[in-house]
Formats: sequence, structure tokens, C-alpha cells
Amino acid sequence: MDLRDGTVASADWAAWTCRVRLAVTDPAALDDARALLTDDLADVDLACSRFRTDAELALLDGAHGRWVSVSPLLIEALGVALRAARLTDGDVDPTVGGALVELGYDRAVEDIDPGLVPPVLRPVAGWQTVELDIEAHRVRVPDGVQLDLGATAKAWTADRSAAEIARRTGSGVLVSIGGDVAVAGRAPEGGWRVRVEDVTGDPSGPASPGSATVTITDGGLATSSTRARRWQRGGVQVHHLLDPRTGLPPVPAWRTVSAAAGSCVDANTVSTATVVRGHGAWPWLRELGVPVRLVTEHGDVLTGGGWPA
Amino acid sequence: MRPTDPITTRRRGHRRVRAVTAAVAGTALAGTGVLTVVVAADHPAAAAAETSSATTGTDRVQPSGGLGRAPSSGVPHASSGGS
Repeated sequence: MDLRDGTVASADWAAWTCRVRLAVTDPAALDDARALLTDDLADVDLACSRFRTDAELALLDGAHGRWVSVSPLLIEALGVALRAARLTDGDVDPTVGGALVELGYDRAVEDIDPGLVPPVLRPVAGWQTVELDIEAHRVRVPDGVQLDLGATAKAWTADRSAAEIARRTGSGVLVSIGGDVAVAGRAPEGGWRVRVEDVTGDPSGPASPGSATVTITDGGLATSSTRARRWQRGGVQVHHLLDPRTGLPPVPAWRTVSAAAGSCVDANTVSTATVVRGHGAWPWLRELGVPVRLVTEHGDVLTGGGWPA
Repeated sequence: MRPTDPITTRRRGHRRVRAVTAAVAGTALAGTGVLTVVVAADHPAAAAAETSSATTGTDRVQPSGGLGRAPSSGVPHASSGGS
């Protein structure tokens, strides 16, 4: 559905089992912007999806440790994922794919077999084992290691699509893919209003308890939460955010973390790593100095880095 | 103003091309640690670019212009939560 609110026009639809929202400051640009974003989503899905047997990423699983030639798009996505891993000292690691499959997450969450065997602690191979050769457009992954680009692909797509839409249409634009929000071009008066909450919802609907609304004018804002994509496995409640050092969900400290940065993928890198690091994230967050909002398991809210009170 | 020497101009142009190449390599190097090994082995410019990426600050979380408090009125443009 398209909504035209003052000078901002928006459209909502579903992709990658996520809510997608597109908003532009020039209503005349909405159709072109939507076409661009739809194409980008399709291209990235075909390159990076862990859930499609025809995706390029699946080629790596069948390569048994050999070099594989891949598209520039997948090379870029892998580069983004490995950069996030390095910036977080491995807390956001793309080699968690196998661990997610072990937990049953190789299909839609609602279709996961709850199983009878409890999850087993098993560290992942680690991002350093992935070799990427940009010049030759090829990648090598150790035999048996499965990649998952879910931690960075949505945010990266939001960034690149927002930038391209702004460049091509001249309109200010907001792209949200499952709550990973990127903006580009000139923001509307007062900035883009973004409501942060545990689970991405309908921004036109009523605010959920404990939510907060902030404004951004550049870069991106992302939220990572253990309240989304949860399921039962062997009698244990698990979710999609894993600690690479155990291959299991981290010890609960923050149920939801939001962060803002110069790009959505950087914001998402911070929010995801903070969930994984738990209480140990504070020194790192102080060093980064980016605005963050952390919600404890009990619903208490802590903010830092200039997050508006 | 001194007259332009076409040979000097051409040399400067080549230097600019090399500098741009190194800068592009530096941006790529900022992407992955493993990539650093692969590219550094293949491209002489990469050694200088690696230093460049470490000093330009591209390989770190980039800050935004900051956040503002939203007015109490007005419908949000987006929701950011887990998904």
C-alpha cells in the first residue's frame, strides 16, 4: 500500500520474510524508487540467500574447499560480512551458517522441526578461514563451513539501495528492510522519524510498550533483538543471533539493542555485536561513541553515545 | 604564472593514477583481513594502500550525524526492531 503523508510518500511490502518500507521525500519518485529497491532485493537474494538452492552462496557449500568464482555482488557482500567480523573481533561472524542449520534454521522459522536433542556447544570455524580474492572474483571456504550473511546483508542492501535511489531520483529516501534503516539524500524537515522497538512493526500502527521514537538525517539505524525469530529446539528456546564462540545464542543480557552510525551496516554491526557481547560490550561502546539504546531482559532501558534522552 | 611543461604534467598524471589505484585498493583492503593477504601478494600498490587504510580511518565504525528526539506528534516514517 502506498501512503502519501505531506511531502513524504511511502510503500510497504514483504521480502526476505521481513517488512520492507520505502519512503521518499519526492512523491513522484516513489514508483521508480520501488522498482530499484525491488530489483536490488531480488539480486541480493539470488546471490546471498542461505535458503535457496539456486543462490550463488550455495555454490560454496558444494565446493568442498576449492576456490569458486562468484559475482561482484557476492564478493561485495562477503567483503562487508568479513569487515563486520573484523571490526567486532569475530562477534559478528559469517561462518555461523552451519550452527544455524544445526539449530534447525534452514527453513522458515515457523517450519522448523523442534527436534528432541538439545543444542550442542560447538564453536564456529571463524571468519579468518574465509579467503576472498576481489581481483579474481573468487572465494574459498573450508570444506564443511557454511556461511550466513544474514547479519549484514539486509543492512548492506538498505545502504546501497538508498544511496542509488537518492542518486538516480534526486529524492531524499529511507529504506527499511526488517528494521534495518538506511537514509540518503535530503531528509524531510525535522528528520526521518524512526520508532525503535523489540520487533519491527507497522510504523503507522500504535506504539508498542517501551518503544521510543528518534530522528535521523543521515547514515543508518539498526536494531537487533532476541525477541524476533525465536523457536524451540530440543526443548530449549533459541533465536537467530548466535555467539560464534559457542555456536549457540549468547547468555541473555540485552533483549534488544539499537544503534545509529554512518551507515546502516555499521549500525547493525554494533547492535548485533552488542547482543552477543552482553554486559561486556560497554567498554567497546564507549570507545566507539555511537548512539546506542539497550533494553535489558526485564525491559530496563540504557542509552549512551548521545542517544536522545 | 610558470609555463606548463607537458612532460611534467604527464608524469603528475601518472602519479595521480597510481595514487587513485592505491586509494581504491585501500578501500578494498578495508573490507577483509584475509583479503589483505591475497591482494598484498598480487599488487605492489597494496602495501602502501594497507598503510593508507589504517591511517584514513575507513576501517572502523563510521559515526553518523547523530540522532534527534522526535516530536511527540507525527507518525513515524519507519519502525526499527528485530526481524
